[in-house]
Amino acid sequence: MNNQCKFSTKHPVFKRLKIFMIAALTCILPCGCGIVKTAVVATVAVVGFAGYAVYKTGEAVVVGVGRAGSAVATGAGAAVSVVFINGDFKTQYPDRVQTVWTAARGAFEKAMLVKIDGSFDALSGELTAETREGTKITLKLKSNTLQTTEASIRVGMTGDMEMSETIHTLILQELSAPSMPPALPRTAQEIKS
Amino acid sequence: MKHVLTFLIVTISIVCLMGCSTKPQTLSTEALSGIANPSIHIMVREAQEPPVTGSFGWGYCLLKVPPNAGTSLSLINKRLHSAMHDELTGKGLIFTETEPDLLVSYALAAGSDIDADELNQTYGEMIDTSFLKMEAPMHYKRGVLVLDVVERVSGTLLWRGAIMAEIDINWPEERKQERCNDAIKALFQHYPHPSPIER
Repeated sequence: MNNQCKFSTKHPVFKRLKIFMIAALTCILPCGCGIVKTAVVATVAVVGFAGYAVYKTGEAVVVGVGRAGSAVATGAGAAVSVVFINGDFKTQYPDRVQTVWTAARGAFEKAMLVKIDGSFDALSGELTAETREGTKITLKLKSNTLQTTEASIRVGMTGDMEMSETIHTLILQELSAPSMPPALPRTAQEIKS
Repeated sequence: MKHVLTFLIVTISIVCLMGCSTKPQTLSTEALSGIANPSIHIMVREAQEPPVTGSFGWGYCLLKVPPNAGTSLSLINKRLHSAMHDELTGKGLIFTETEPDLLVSYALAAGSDIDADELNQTYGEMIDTSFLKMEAPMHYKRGVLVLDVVERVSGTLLWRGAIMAEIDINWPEERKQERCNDAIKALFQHYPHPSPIER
């Protein structure tokens, strides 16, 4: 008994296979456009998130290499990053908590706010005040790095971007103002007199 | 018969491929006020249709501007919100301040580049961005406006559009709202779905 399988194009299995292949190709080919279109999208989608189709025009300015600059403003000319979310005005100052807290207190006084109160340590600080109309203003500080402080300003219950920005500008002005000259050591003559 | 079949398959394949090559996923941009060389980058979530009914409210506002630029951030915010409000209500969405269906956020980086990571981190606890798996580290070059549409309840980013361009610094103050409107319109014309052009 010969168990060897003979493969012939005239074999009924091959005929069925041929019909199946033709049917399959007939089904696949009309979908070919879709497949190729997806491939085009996938090529573009190199710069994007998984699960998102990406479309673009113009020069490919969204790049997949390198990193953007830090959100923290460092050095002259660096961009200041401000986020307004859920009524909180969040930003950073290139100074330590103590310096920013002192500047903020000065800013609150300049703005003639009342009921100014707060405290700070090396890691964090808080300052509260009220406008003459009774709107509460809260400033929260948190040390980010040794020389950088994150700040959150909230005006009233729901937040007010315009008033928060005014407070922020006043704090920046206080920070850039020339500081008080340090007390000079007295000379021997001054001590005698 | 064999040759005919081969010929048919090859012919159909070529025809299908040629048909596809005329439809690249490229978008069109019209001339925009006070903006030169605009580039647009749109990402749309494939598994979920961005809606054009229901309500929307404001998410985050991220502004990265040079210090002492002499520009009021709250004024920029008002202009952008006004333009976004008009475009989205024009599409059938309704603005609400409390518990909207969609959160619409923007990031404007005039003074530096901006990183996709940074955009996602800005949400804080507002949405879970851990599922936003980047296929490559990406950032948008300096001079970019990015708009996000997020489903508030699930915290899913449905749509993100970015326009990168050169901005005319000497553009007159009284026409800045017009410029904002043009930029926002150029982006939201691709919401909910971009309209690729045929070349």
